[in-house]
Amino acid sequence: MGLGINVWMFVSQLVSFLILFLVLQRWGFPILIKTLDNRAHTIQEGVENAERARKELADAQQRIEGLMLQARQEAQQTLAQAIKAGEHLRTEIEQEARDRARQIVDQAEQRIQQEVAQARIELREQVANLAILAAEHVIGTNLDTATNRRLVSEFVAQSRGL
Amino acid sequence: MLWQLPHIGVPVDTLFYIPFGNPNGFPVSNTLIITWVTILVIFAFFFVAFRKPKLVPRGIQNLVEWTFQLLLNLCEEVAGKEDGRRFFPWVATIFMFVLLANWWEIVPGVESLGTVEPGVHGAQHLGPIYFLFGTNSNHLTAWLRPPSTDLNLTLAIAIISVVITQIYGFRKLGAFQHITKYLNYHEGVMGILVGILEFVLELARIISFSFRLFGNLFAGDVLLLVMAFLVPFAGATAFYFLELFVGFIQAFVFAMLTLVFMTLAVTSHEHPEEHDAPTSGHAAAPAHEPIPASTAA
Repeated sequence: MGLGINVWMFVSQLVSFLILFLVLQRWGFPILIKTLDNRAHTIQEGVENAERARKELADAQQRIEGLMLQARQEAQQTLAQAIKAGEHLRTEIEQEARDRARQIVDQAEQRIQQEVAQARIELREQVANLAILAAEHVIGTNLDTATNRRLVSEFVAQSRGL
Repeated sequence: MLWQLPHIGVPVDTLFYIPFGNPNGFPVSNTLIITWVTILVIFAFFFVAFRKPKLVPRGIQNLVEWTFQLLLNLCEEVAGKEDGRRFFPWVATIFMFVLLANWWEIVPGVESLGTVEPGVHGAQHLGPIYFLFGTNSNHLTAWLRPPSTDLNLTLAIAIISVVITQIYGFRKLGAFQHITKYLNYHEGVMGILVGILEFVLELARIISFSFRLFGNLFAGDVLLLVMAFLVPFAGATAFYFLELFVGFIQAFVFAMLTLVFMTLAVTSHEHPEEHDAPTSGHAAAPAHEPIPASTAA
């Protein structure tokens, strides 16, 4: 034939191509498709994981921000309570110190008054003694009797108002 | 004289006969040898690429995966995810095989290495091996010839393409609906005429498939030989790039037409909306959208 078509050559080319196809179909393309699918799956999984990680990171950041805000509020609250407690404690301590000081002062005043009273009594007695002694020297007799002593004491007592 | 313009004939040369089947033996042509070599090369590519497939492909695996990933995506975009994956082995095999078969014509030694048989075209016997050189070079019987310049091969692939297309049509649509494409008596005389035209179209596809590939590659082959004769050594070099391009385009056209015809064959002509729309597969296949580093490169 002018175009060179020969049945045997045609069949041999046909069979050769079919052998190529069947071998590739049986062993070549399944591996190829599996490899491509695995890679696509891996990439898809990687993208999904990255997206999930991004969301988790955003959630974590949001959670951290919430915790930070809560911690800040709690810290402020604690600080305010501490200031208030400190203020209260300071007031208490001041009050206590003031009371204590007042008590000390009162005690001191009381003791002073007692001592003054005691000193007055002693002074009165000494003045009486001195007056008696002076009168004894003036009149030259012993005036140390109970009646004289009473009289002098009454005088001294009356003279305190002078 | 460096060499004479070789005798260029459409029929391929039979190199030897294997005693099998035919009383004269099984003819082994110079194109059949390259066909077998091409098949072995494809097997070797797959073996090297997927002997130990890696998650991050490199080298041959990267090249093979990149090529087939593009084809797979194309199949899924044209035919939908399900049908695209079904058609992919045929389309990929045709593309790979025809591409390599086409590119043989620029390989040194192909059609320039052979034998000059005494008495053939008046040649004198010069020995078992002869290069495309000298006064007897126009009598050279090439040992190797690009398979795509053999009409037997292009016709075989064309018939396979058309037959497989019909098989998919029958399987997807059912025998009755598929046959009514060609025996369309529902729509009167016009329908019958359209059916006849459809049938003629199927036969014409075989002719267009086979002669398109054969014509382009044979013309390119002749062009390279003529340029090598007119401007020895350097004349054909520029056309090598053209033939690389033509070889790729023809392989791509052959594979794509097969894919399109298969897609048309599984699409109902009565209720096309009931079937998988070509673009639906693209939308339904986001898993293949992220191309690996190899494809992105």
